[in-house]
Amino acid sequence: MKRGANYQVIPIERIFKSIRDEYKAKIEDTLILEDTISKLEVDEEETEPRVWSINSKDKIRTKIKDLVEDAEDRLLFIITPDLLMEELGGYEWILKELWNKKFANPDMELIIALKFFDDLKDEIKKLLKIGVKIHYIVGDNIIPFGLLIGDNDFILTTLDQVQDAPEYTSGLWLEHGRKRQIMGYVHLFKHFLSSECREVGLTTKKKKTIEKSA
Amino acid sequence: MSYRGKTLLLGNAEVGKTSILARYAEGIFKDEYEATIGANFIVKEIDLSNVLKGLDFEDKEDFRKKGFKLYIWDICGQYDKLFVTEYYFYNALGAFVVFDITKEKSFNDINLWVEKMKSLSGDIPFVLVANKVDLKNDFAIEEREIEEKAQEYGVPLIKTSAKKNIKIDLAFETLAKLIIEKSFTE
Repeated sequence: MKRGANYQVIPIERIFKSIRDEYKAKIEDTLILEDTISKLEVDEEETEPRVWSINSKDKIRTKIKDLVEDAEDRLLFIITPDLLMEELGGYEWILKELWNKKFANPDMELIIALKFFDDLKDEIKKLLKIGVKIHYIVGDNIIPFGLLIGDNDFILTTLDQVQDAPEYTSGLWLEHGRKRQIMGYVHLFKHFLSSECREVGLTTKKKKTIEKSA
Repeated sequence: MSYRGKTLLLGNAEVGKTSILARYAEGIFKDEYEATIGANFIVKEIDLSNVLKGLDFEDKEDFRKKGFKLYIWDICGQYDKLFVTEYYFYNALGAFVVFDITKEKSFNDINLWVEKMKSLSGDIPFVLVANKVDLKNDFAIEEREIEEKAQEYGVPLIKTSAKKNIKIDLAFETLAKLIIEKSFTE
């Protein structure tokens, strides 16, 4: 019976090449790991809650649009009168944005509070028809603040311009807020609704009936 | 864009400032009293048909075409809380100083309001408004005294009732005229 050789002669170049390949693979693995870890760290940082100060009419409007656009589950919005005033750009820019949002996401919770005036009647009807809940602010006082709460963010604006008309151009924006950080502002929103507002509803027109005389 | 002028409604609490504004802007009168907190604000376009009569200035036609809006600030009447609302006086072009003809204190306090207005808004035109003239049996101030006060300041006096809609439009048109006069002819 013939036996195979117990030892094999391997050229030294092949041995070193195999060692080099092993090291190369390990180096590549470390690079992939390093890259993955660094990406994970960035993501974590990006979702940390942050508070920003926003100070201008245009920046606040842009941020409001962003928050409306990004929201998926809810939008709770106390709309300050300057965002609707004809002299400051009218109401269409924001009410259409809200209509589009609710229309595209019928299940989303969308509640707004605003000071009612006649020009808004048609827009309000359109919003009510697609399920937006609307509360009008009663009383004759200027509201001191505005508030927009999205899924994980909110922007709180305060009255700071009284030169001609009241304007709210100082804002605090909480980005990537935790639930507990937003909870108090949701409470503030609901408190405002219950103490300062009345809900608006659609009423059906009664059909005129003609009574037949006997 | 229309011309605009910031206007203040000043006077003690409960003299009827918010009612005057509601009557003028919305044509309504609310019987129950609710104190104004901070301020109330309304924009109202002035009917220029009477206002521009007798006024002559270079941009009159342009002014008529573009229209004139009063940005009316109804300021909280509790004088002891005025420090909160002083900021609202800034940039005003005219004011109403309102008192309740049935309450002497509101008449005596006119001086405080005029002083405050002059110190914060400057030498702006104003109209003295004697409100609640419908309550004839309850008048607490002699008409002569009221007229003397208006003469002392050299300002128009308008006797109004927000409840009965007496001379409310006239009060706003008078002030609008004074503002336009000061802005365009001086």
